[in-house]
Amino acid sequence: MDFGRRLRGCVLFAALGLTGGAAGCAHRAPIEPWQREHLSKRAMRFDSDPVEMHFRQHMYGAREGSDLGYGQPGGGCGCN
Amino acid sequence: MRQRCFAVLLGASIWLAGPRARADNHVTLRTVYYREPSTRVVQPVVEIEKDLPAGFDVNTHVLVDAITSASAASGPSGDNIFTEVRDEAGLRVGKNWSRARATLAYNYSAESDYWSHILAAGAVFRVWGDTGTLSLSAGAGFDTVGKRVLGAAPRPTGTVDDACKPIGTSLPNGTKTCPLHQRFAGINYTQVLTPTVVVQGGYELALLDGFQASPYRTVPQKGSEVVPEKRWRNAVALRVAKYFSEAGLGLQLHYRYYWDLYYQYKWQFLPTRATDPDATSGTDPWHVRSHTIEGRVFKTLGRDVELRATYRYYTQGAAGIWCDPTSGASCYANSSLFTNDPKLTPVATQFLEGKVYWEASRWRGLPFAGWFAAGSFEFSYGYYWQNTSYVGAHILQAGYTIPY
Repeated sequence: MDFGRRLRGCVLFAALGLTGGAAGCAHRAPIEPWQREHLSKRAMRFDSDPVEMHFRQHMYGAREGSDLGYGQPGGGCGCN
Repeated sequence: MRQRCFAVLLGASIWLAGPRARADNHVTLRTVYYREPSTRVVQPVVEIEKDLPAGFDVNTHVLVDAITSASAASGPSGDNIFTEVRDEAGLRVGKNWSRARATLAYNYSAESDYWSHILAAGAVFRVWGDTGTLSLSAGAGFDTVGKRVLGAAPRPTGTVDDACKPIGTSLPNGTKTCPLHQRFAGINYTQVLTPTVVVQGGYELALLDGFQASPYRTVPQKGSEVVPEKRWRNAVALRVAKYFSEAGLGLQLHYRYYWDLYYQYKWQFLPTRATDPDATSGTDPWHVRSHTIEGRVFKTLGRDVELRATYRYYTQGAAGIWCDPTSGASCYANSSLFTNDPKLTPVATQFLEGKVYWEASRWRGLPFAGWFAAGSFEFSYGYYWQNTSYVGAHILQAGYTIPY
């Protein structure tokens, strides 16, 4: 098994493990409404600025060989 | 040479099919100024979102890319300066229920030699007492690649038509075009762990089928580049956010791993044609792998100001079809695939950016300026450095968002 395949397997395993673990932890410790004060802050949101991300992904897509994985669409060229 | 990006499209999209970034009616105006040694871009954007009755909402955006570039492809001898405009418009309609959301979206982009239609659908479910969010998305893109040559410029060395034959059309100067079809899907799961910790994991894929070369780019001794017509792109991403309430400080860490899947022989997910130049290679013709790490620090200053600092590091191995043409004349001698694309070389990039958000409420009551008091301004400057021929770029952004 080559290194790349092993690395990919490790990353997938880690992603599944972390996500599953996160869900399990949350199930045991629900967040009450009065504890959500900070969750709406910009720092706690991964999608707080889609217009900005739209441009950044276009920029990366024009200069790097691996689009995808940002939760963002591309489309058209306009590649700066 | 004019730089191309081939619209690779990307599932689990925030804009096309994801959750709403803001839960109110608003208008956002933004302008981006991008400058690198050979290219300048000015991009004004307008985004409008409106809540509708019965749980529906609609979001639309319009943007214009005004691209001024020095391009060897635009003139018969040496570089010429030319300006091109790309127009883009998108529409997304969402329907909300108590713990779920569905979206349909359409996006159109047009420039003189590239047209793109994207259709996407998404669904979002809130679970575990509203601490978890599961996002699913899928869609398709229909792109058309053409060629634009200014004046009486000659065609590039080699025959562009050859590069297009596998998909059955030819690509002479600006008169015919080649298609690129894309299908994409994504899944993201976001979980609130504690009142100050959020994690997210996701996987996205895109299947590309069609003309993926640049009609302008040539390879020494070989002429116009030829790349495989199929590509399976994958990425997994992990994100963590932590807020330190006493310090008013937020921290985000992102990691992403990307890989091209070896699809031709192992699983036969995609149909192959006998004419595919990569169908007989027995190896993954793209074979791009990359790692991305990004960190963001947020700091609130008083009631109205928030600062954000971003650092991003990206590293990528060369594509399987790439070899350094400067390494010798025989580099591509026996290869049916050849490219001179800087994006397919070993790439390393860094991006450093500072940003200021300012709520304009202090302007309330002032003449004229008071009109903007309900909104917020944002300004940013970033520098993007790369080890390829793109070298580096300055990015300035200014925006204003107002609720209504």
